[in-house]
Amino acid sequence: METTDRPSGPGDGAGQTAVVEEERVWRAGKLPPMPIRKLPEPPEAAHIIGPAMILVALGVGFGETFLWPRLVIVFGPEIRWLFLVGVLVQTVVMLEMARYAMATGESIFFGAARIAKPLMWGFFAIAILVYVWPGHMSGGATALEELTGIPWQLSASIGLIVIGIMFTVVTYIYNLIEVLLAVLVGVLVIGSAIVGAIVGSLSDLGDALLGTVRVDSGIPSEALTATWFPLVVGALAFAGPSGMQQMWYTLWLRDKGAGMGVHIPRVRGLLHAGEEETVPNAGHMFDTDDREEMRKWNGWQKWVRYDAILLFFGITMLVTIIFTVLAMNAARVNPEARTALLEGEKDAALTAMGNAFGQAAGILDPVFFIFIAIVGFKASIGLFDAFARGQSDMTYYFMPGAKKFKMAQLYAIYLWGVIIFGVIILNFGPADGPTAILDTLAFLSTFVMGAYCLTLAAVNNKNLPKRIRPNPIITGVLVLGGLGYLFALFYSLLKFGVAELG
Amino acid sequence: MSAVPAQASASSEWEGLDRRQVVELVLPGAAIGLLGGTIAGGLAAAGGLSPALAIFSIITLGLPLAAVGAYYDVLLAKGRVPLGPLTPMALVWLVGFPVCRIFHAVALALFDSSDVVVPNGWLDFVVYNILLSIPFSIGFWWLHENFAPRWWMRLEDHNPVAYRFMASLINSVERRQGGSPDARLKGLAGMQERRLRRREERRQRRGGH
Repeated sequence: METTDRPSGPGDGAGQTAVVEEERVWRAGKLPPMPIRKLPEPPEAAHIIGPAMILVALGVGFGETFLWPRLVIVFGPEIRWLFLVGVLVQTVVMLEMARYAMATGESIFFGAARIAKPLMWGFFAIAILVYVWPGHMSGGATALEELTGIPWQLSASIGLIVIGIMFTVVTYIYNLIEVLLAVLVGVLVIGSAIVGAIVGSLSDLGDALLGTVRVDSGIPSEALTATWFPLVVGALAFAGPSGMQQMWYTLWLRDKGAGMGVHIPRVRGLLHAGEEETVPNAGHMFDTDDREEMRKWNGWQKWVRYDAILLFFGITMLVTIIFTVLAMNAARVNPEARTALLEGEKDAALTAMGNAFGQAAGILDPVFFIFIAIVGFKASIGLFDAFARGQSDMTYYFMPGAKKFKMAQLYAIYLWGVIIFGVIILNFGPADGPTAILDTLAFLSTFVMGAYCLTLAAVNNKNLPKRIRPNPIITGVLVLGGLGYLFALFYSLLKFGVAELG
Repeated sequence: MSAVPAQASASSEWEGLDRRQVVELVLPGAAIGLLGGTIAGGLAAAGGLSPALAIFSIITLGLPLAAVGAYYDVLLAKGRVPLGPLTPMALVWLVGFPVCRIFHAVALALFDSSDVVVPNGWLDFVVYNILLSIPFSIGFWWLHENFAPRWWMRLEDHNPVAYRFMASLINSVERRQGGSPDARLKGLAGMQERRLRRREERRQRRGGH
C-alpha cells in the first residue's frame, strides 16, 4: 500500500515544525488515488437480500418469457444449453462487477475511466443509444392492449410518467426500487410456480431440464440460417441481464452500502436534493495487508456469492425452465404458433404464443399477456433508474462544470430526459411498432456486453491490489465470454448482413 | 445460574402469547400463501371461467397454502427453525406444496364432476409438484424476507416474539457498526434508525415515560 505524506496544521514557516500526517492511498490509473478506509462488517447472507434482486428483476424479462420460449417452440428444448452458457457467463460477470464495486465503492464506469477515459465515454454514448428507446415499456403495453384494448401508446406513456414521478418524490430512490421490484419479482416467481403446477407435466419439465444441459446436441442447422441465427444471437444477449444492466449493478451495490460503497452517499430523489451529502472525488480502498480486513472481505465475497448463485442464477433458471415447460405445452397443443414463427411472422409470435397458452389450459390466454405486461413495467422501472444513475455518475465525475449540480439534480435531468424522449418516440416516432425497437436494443446490447466483459477483465486485474484480483480462470471466462458475444454479433452482421436480433 | 437454551426460551415465549398476538405473527406467511391461491383464482377469472370456479379455486388452493405459510411462521416463532435461511422453509413447502395441490386438484374434479383428477397419473403429479415446490418456496422466502421484518417492526412494542425477531436482525447490524466507527451502513441500519426514531417519538407522545 502506497503512503503519501501530507502536512496538516497551520505551520508558520521557518520557526515551526509542521505536523505531518500520513494518508495512505491506493493508486490506480491516472485518476485521483483512493484513500484507505475500513471495510465494514459483512452481513450474514440470509438477512440482507442484495442488489442481485434487482438484477433478477431486470434479468427475468423478455429473454426468458418471450425470446427463449419462441426458440424452444421452433427448435425444441435442446437449444436451451445456449441459455445456460449465457447465464453462467452472466453469473461470473456479476461476481466480478461486485468485486470491483465492493473493493472500491466506485462504479465500473469509474473503473473503466481509470484504464482510459475514452473507454468510459464509449459506454456513456452507448447507454444513450441503447436506452433512450422505450422498448420494454412498449412491449409490456402491447401485451396490455391485447388484454384490455387500451392503445399501447397511451398506457406506455402513462407508465413512463408514473415512473418519473415516483423517482422524483422519494427520499432514497434505491429503497423504492427495492420495494417495487421485490413485490413484482415475488409475484412473478410464485405466479410462475402456480401456473406451471396447473398447466405443466413431469415429462415437459424433464425435457426442459435435459435440454438445458444438452451441449452435445449442438446448434440445429436451421438455427444457422439468415432467418434464425441473428435471433439466436439476440436471445443469447437477453439470457439473464442484458445490455448494461450488469454495469449498473455496481451502482446499486454502492447505494446498498456493500463493502466500500458504504463510504459514498446515497442517490436521493430530486425533491430531497438539498439533503445530499458531499460526494468524494474517488472511491476508497481497504488495507489488503491487514488480516482483519481480509477476513471481512472474504465475508463480503461470501455474501455476494450467495446473492449471485442462489438469487440470480437460481431464480433466473427456475423461472425460465417454467416458461419453457409452458412453451412446450403450448406448441404441442397449438401448432399454429410454430407455423407462424417458421413463416417469419415475428410480430405475430406474441399473439400466437398467447393463444397457444390459452388453448393449452383454457385459462392462460390472458395470463401470458399479464406476465408480459408486468415484465415490461418492472423492466422499465429498473432500467430508467439505472440509466439515470449511470449517466449522472459519469457526468458528475468527468464532465467539466458538472459538480456545480448535485447528483440528485443530474439524476433527475437524465431520468426526465429519457422519459420525455420515450413519450415522443412512442407517440410520434417510427411506426414500426414495439418489436422494431426491441430489435435495435438487442443488437447494441450484445455489442456492449462483449465490450464490458473485456473491460471488466482489464479493470479488475489492473486497478485492484494483487491479493484481491480474480484468478486466471475467472479472467479467462470474462475474456472468452466477451469475445464470444462480439464474434457472434459480427458474424451475424457480416455473414448474413442482418442486424435485427429481436 | 444456568443459561436457558434459546429454543426453550422461544417456546415459553410462545406459550405466553394471546390469540391476537398469534394471529399477528402468522399473518405474513398466511398472506403470501393466500397470494398463491389468489393468482390461481385470478387466472381462472381472467380466462373466462365462471366466477364460482375462480372463487372456488382461491379457496381450495389459497386457504391450504395460507395454512402452510402460517405453520412456517409458527415454527419460526417457537424457535424450531432459524430466522432467515431458505432450507428450512423449502423443507416445509417440499411437503406442504404437493399436499395443497392434491387437495386443490381433487376439489376441482369434484366441483367439475370430472372423472379424471390428474391426467398423467398420481406419481407424475406428486413428483412434479414436489419439484415445483422449490420455485414456490423461493418466491415465498423472497417475499417473507423482504416484507415480514417491516410488519414485525410494527408489532414489536406489544409482541415479544416480534421483538425477538427484530432484535436478532438488528443485532447483526450493531455488530457491524461497532467494528467500523467511520462507516455508515445502509439498508438494514436504515431500518434500525427508523425503529429507534419511532420509539423516541412514541416515548415523547407518552410524555417521556
